[in-house]
Amino acid sequence: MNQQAFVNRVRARLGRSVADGVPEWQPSLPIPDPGPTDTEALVERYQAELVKLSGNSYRVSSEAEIAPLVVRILKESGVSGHVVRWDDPLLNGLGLDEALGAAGFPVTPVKHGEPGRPQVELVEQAVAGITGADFAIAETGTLVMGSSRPGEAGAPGRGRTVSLLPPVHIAVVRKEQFVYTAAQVFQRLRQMGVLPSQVIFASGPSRSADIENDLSIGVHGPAQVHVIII
Amino acid sequence: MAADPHNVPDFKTRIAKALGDERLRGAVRYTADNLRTKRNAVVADLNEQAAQRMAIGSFAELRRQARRIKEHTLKHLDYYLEQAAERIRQNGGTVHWAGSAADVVRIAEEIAERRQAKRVIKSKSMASEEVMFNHALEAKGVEVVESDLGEYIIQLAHETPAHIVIPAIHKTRRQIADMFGAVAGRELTTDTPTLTKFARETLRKKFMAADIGVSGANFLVAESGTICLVTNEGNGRLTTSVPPVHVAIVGIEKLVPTLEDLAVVLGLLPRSATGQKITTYFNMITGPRRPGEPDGPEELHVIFLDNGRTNLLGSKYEEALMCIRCGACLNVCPVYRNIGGHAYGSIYPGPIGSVISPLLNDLGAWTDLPQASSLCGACHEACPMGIHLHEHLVSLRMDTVAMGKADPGFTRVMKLWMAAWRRPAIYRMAAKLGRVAMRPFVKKRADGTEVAESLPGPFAAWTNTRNFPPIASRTFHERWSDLEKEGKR
Ligand code: SF4
Repeated sequence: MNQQAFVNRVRARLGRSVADGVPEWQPSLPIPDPGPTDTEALVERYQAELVKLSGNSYRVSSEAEIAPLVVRILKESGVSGHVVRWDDPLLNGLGLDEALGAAGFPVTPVKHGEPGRPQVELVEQAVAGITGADFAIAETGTLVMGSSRPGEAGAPGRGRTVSLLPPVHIAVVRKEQFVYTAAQVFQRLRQMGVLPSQVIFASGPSRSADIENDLSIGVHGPAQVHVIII
Repeated sequence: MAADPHNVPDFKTRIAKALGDERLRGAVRYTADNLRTKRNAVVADLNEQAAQRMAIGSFAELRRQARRIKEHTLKHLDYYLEQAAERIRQNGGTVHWAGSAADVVRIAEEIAERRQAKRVIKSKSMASEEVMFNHALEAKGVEVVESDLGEYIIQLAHETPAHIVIPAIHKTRRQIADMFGAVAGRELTTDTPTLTKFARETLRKKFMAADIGVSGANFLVAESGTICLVTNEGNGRLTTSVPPVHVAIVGIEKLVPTLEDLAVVLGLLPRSATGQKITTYFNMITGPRRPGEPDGPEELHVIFLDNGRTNLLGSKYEEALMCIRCGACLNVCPVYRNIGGHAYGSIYPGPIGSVISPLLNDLGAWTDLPQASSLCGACHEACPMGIHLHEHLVSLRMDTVAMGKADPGFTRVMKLWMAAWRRPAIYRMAAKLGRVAMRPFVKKRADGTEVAESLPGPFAAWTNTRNFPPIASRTFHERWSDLEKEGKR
């Protein structure tokens, strides 16, 4: 069936015609802007929610603390092997590659402009993936990550799989990226215009209850989620 | 539909089978209780937060908003379909239109053929089950693997889901370990971590080798052409990120107008389905991989599916298209809780299944399902969309009678009842007679209550699958006049 035939059938059923034009619609708002706006309160709530979901969070006061902390997290995770990360301004300049490399975790940034299977396979074999985030939602302990920067048509080295395929996901997020509800994120994404090809809302590690209602972690996505808050 | 009513045993046989399976019934009740308890807790929490202005709205407010969104979208569906199609194409995707289940299969086969695809990986999708996708593609020599852990278990067992949210609730870990062991070619222990690890490793290989990933959609945003998926395991993300082609099968009722509308429907779905505030992953897909991006599919196909949905538009059943497939109505339904999902014989079980299976197919072939309800209205109360499920069931029963498809035995009893009810003297006499006539069939249960488990003649149609309470030793009328005589009234 082609579009016209399909849509015409719907239109006939509804008793509408093309001349009816654009329907008037006010999005399901005004949704009141609830919750705290104070950053400190947002961060605290986020951390409390993430713990409930079996995720870990860390506070640091300067960028210099990040690379050593990531090394410590990886060592404590008991993994060994290579690590992948976003090639993105949110992470570049944190000295991750040098510090991790020296600690025995060689780092490969996923590259801009080099699409294709080799990159996915590289990510699949990594023991950990390091990303930034575009937003963090306090109410639900959620990180929001675009496969490119929201509102920008360009494609930096982010991709979809770095926070998905490796068993450990480490994310770096800044205080000013915290909001209270998902509604606020949808609002901002709408205002920013160009949507990334994929936006992921991730709340803690991958989980399933499919075997006798028993909770299990890490069935497809990462089993460990570590969020570092600057 | 996954099950053609003409190929499966009739409804009563299916019910009898389910009622005889104590383990299935125990698992269904346990899961339904578990989900219902969690849902109630998270809804109470939401209401409390909303009262303190710490949430975007109470459950009732979100429900009101969600109904407003869906009502509006359905009323203008032609517009939103065209808008969504245009945006999807602008984003680099391809749009297909499937009037019927067969169309979906044909479109998918064409894509598979062009890509010379041999392996398909799927994330959980009711729409794909509705069109019997796996069966059709496998017949063409394409391997189709389910990646949702529960669906994977069901697929290995060659069964159908017992619940729409947690499909494999009726499988024990022993059975799962045996099935996984057969795939692995070695014995597996029955602990959850071992089973999970096996599934992760096995399915990861399938993901990496897959030529096509097939998903459904929980919502589709018309203004941006964005496909939205809620998952907990991450298989939905893998399906849409790793294989070189992504095909999404989307029922036309999944549309919402704007990104901001997502907050409302996303606020309701996980809470109602699993009692979570949000699922582990919420995935928004706006097109295939863009130039320069390191991963993501090269091709994105959206197949819009009608398959009977359009017939509901503008009808008294239009509201059924608001369903977001959360399963809350199943968990509270006394009938579902007793017989589980298999007995319905359709991929959509429970109250919503009893409404939409006949509507999306042919009511004549599914006349039994609308009878499978006590009309208590618990489903309506639990439904995040406030769908009047019990009213639709009554309406479908009336349609069944109007079509002349009602069960003849049952109709005879009902006619007798109607005749008696119209003449008080006869009614009173019938009650007295019935009381005496029923005596021999009434049994006393351990808890002291009395039931009739099997009645003769036309009444057997009822008691074959249900009990009948004995007629009270004194009727309400008799008691009332006693009270009046005693001056207590
Ligand atoms: S009818 Fe309502 S409660 Fe039942 S699955 Fe659909 S949305 Fe959920």
